[in-house]
Amino acid sequence: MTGTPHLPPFFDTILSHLAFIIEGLPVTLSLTVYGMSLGFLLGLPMAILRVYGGANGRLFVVSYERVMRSVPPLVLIFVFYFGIHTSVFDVPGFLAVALALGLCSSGYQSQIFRGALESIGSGQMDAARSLGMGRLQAIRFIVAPQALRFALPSWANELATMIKDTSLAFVVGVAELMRRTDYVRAATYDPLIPFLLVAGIYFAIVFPITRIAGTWGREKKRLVVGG
Amino acid sequence: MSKAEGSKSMQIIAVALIMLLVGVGAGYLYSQSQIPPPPPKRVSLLDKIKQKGQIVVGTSADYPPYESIDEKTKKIVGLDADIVEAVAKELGVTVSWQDMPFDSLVAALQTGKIDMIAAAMGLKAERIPVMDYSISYEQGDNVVVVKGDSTVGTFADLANVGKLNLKIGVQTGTIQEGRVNDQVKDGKIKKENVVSYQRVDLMISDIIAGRIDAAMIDKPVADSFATRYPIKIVYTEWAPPKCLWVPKGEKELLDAVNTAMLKLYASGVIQQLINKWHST
Repeated sequence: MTGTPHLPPFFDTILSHLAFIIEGLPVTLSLTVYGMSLGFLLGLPMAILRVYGGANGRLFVVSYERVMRSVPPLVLIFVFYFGIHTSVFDVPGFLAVALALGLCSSGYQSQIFRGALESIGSGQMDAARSLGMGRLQAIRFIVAPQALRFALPSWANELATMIKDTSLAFVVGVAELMRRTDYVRAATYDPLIPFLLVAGIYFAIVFPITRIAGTWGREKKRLVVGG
Repeated sequence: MSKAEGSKSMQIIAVALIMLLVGVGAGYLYSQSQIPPPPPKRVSLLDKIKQKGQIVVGTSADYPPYESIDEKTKKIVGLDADIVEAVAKELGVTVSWQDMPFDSLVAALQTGKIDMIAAAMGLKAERIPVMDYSISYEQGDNVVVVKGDSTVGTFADLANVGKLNLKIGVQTGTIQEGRVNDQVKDGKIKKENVVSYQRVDLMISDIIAGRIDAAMIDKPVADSFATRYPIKIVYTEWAPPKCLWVPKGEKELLDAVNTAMLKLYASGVIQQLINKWHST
């Protein structure tokens, strides 16, 4: 072959569409990272409170989870973006989406970590306490490290869901993957190809995550059976 | 720590968290209920814009030829974009584009997220009490389009859509949707024959696929699609003019925008831009 490979115009256009759409990827990924982190920072303490926090703690966490899992993220996004506006503090679109996705996710992550915490035998807690550890110490050094490992597969599934949920961000003008696809769709008057392209991009990100989650899931089963 | 002590500390944490949430909620409600003290001197939005040197303009960049994104330059282009850039130049400020869905624009203007709307938004009774509008830059017609090989002939009354029993598509939140719904209320078009779409292109695709018989859209948009799809216009009617929209009560900004637009009209710029974008 000599010279640069000559692509037919059709593929040329597809490549330029793809190059344009993929610039939304950093936005999609950073929304995912912020959302998941906030969900983790809220969800893990909630789970600990639910399992070890007595009746009051449980009541509080259960109510919190119910609320966060019942409200559509879209509603929260609108509340943060349009609902909270003062001259002093203005919530930018990106922040509104990250907060909304993070809060919604915290409800689910709390459930994930609760399940994982409960899967650690209560004997471990008793053993740690009998060695003179406080309750919080026992959670931090004995229970939580194991529980987090058990939680990984479900957590990865939540991550995959979050990646797909970031496509809501456009309602407040954050141009992530989906909105950039919209631009191409509008400019080319073609409703099919741009959507197929973005579906491919989402698949390429989410498939490895769910795949790894599946592998972890089998690993977990082996650990539980072996232990 | 004993077991009793441990669960007690957990309870304290739980109570503290609940109190925190209640406190934040109460604080929010309190701040909402407070009547804000009258500001010592009203700073007009125009002054703020001039101070920043930048006007934030909201649009929905999926509506060519009014506004869309150029894949190469990654800039918002179209008739609205050009008019706004020209107006901003007259005001001596730069434009910061804020792109969002069409139905989010009004809320964004009301909450101060944007200073102006430029989105081929025409006069509509519901919009007038909540925003102020500039002089118009275009009086675009509304049209009904059908598939190119359709046997439907041209007609002069929108009620014919009902008489011919055509299944008609409209875009949600638009003036055309309001028109068709009025016909439904008058019993001239059957409700089950009206299909709402979020996007014009999907509506046109459905005409080509034969899922609907007709669609009511802006004429320039119909012309634009007609260059790529086999559709034809069978009905045309006068439509309320399109304007730029600014927050209610910002007279200084509205005056400045109108003055700029009159200048652009006098120098022939507006007509040049209309010719440029509606050449098809």
